[in-house]
Amino acid sequence: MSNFTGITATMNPLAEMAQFKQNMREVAASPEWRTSKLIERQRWNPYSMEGGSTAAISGDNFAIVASDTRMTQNDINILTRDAEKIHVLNDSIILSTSGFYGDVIQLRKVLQSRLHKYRFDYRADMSADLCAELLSRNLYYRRFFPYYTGAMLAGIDENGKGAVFSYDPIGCIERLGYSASGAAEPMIIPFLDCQIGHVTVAEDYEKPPLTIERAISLMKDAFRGAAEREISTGDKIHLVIAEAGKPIVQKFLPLRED
Amino acid sequence: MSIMSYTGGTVVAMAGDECVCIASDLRIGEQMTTIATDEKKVHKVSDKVYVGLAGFQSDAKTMLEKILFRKNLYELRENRKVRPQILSEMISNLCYQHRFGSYFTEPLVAGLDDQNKPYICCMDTIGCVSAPRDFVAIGTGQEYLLGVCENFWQENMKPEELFEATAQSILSCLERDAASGWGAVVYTITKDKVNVSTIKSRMD
Amino acid sequence: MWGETFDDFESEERELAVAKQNFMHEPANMNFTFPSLPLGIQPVEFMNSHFGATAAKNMKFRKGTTTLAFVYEPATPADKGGIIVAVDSRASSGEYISSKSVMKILDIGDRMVATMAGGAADCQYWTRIVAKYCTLYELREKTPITVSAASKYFANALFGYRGKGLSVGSMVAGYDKKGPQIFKVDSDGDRCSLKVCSVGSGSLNAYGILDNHYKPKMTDEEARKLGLRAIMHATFRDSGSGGVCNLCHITPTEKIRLPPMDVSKLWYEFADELGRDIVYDPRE
Repeated sequence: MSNFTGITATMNPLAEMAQFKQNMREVAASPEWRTSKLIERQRWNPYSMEGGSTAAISGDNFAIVASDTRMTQNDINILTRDAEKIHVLNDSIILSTSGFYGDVIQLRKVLQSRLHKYRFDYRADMSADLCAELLSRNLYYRRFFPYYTGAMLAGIDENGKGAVFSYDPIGCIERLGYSASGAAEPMIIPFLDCQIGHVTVAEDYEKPPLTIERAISLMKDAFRGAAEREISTGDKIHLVIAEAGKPIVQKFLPLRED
Repeated sequence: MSIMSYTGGTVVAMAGDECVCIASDLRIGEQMTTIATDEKKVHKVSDKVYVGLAGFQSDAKTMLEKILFRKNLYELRENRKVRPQILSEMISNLCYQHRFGSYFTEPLVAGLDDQNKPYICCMDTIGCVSAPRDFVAIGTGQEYLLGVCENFWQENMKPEELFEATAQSILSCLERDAASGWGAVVYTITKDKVNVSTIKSRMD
Repeated sequence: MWGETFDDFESEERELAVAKQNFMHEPANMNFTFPSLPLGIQPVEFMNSHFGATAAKNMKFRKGTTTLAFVYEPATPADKGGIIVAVDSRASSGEYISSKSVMKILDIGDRMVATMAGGAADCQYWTRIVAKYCTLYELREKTPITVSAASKYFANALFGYRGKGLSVGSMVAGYDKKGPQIFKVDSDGDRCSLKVCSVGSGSLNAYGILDNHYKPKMTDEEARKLGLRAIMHATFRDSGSGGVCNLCHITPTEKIRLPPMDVSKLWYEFADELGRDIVYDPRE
């Protein structure tokens, strides 16, 4: 053999060519980018992801919830620009969701019928903290076939305080001052951490109080920032404001449409 | 957990008026375990040119050596300082040479050119350069940073403002990113000097 | 199913009844079965593909923890002794920290707590089921339930779902007629009584501190400090743990919940104490 390198000296060129062709066939049949995730998805996938994001902020006597109104498919196609992601369940409970819209509708139906029954049984509207526990359990009941939703519940609690409850898909519940969910959650949350949680400033730094005006303007900023960078968030901000002792106000504000 | 987030780490750069800021966290990990807390991902390449390398740090180290080698060669051959635009092109070429077996690191270049015009850019692992005028972020905390920077960045910031914006952005990011943190370091590059400051952050 | 027409009245009525059963009432615990996947779909595989490592950031289940508990006896008559339960407060979905303020010590009755490690939702839900059982037991038997019995019920409940993908690592700790007790219960159905115990992603780090400094006889001050310190060191090294340290001291007479301590501040205090310079100095 010559000093030709690259091929092991013992290998027969014809056999090598055959081997190469065999490998090519295998790769073409099952390319490397077909990860186990993709293979599994192609097998049976009951979910789809309609994108979009929601956020909520609670204060002393108010809770505001915002979401975009874009509904996308595969993060590329826009299905509608007026999707309803915030559901006002009664005068003090607002459900905001992201994720699979089919599950969202089902979840809303479950909660609405339970609230209806509660009203029938007790002749009073359910308060946000009771509904929060109810939602947590109902999410958990689907532990082995979960709702594909990132849900959040906001509203006014029994004591007239603003409340935001955040969940994971199977109902891990936590009451927080502010929360976000959906595709732009990782973009919105650090901003709210910085502006409302004041986690990045020194302790003796004078912190501005969280008024309803400030909360609304922060929410607008958060969504404008998210819409710049996140493709499935945009079109309009749907803003729902619940203040203790006042009816719920809904607003629509413009956002990027590209 | 993908190889890109095995060691963790985040780098951000912001451009201002005749100044740029580049910041990184200080953590090195092995998946969930923190190994060291004194490993900055920002490296000096030339007087006013810095490069940040996030991603898998073993590759980042190798990459850095290669970058320095090419940059030294360039400076010897051309007998002038490297400009950030040139450096990014150089790194991009280097990355693309390894197109089918790339280094698991995303480079970021920040610096001032010879007219003191700020230049920042970041690229993916195979060297697709994107050089926006405002800010760039790479690493495990990229998403968090982009969200925050979008709200902090303004046109024509002075060095002090720019430092504040960068520091606040990276601190907000570290709050939510488990794979980076344990302190941060910010380089403020102005036409006269480079200011280095270490920021205390959460140690969890 | 076959041969029915669309205006089949009975099936409509039946569907309505099913819908009511499903949505209008809280299911009774005894005869409730979780809705499951269609036949032939592997539950664990399915969950991993949609909610596991490859899922979107906010679709992953929340997890990651350091929890610890230990029993000690009072060193001086002035001390109370009992059980120290200390936990961190981080919930993470992959690398994303989805919450910094989770309360991982959950109450079961007045004298007992359960800690939360593994899947957060699993722990929250099953702890509640156990708490409900304990309350009913007390009402029925007119005597407080023992830690042993409560943890056994917990372990049995989890054992019933073995292999279905539940993820629970809980410590049931409390004082009963037999004295201070800690039972570690996990989703494989394991249940064991321990004096010093730690569960979660940062448990090894916590064990390191505990094994080094734990003594069977300690003062209250020492014991609380040990709990805090073990959690602090665990959070420092483990990126899955962090936030604040919640501490609960169960004495023979009462359950004391101490105010949360920021672990990051604890770390800086610790560094001060050692006189170690932890300020990073960039060379160049």
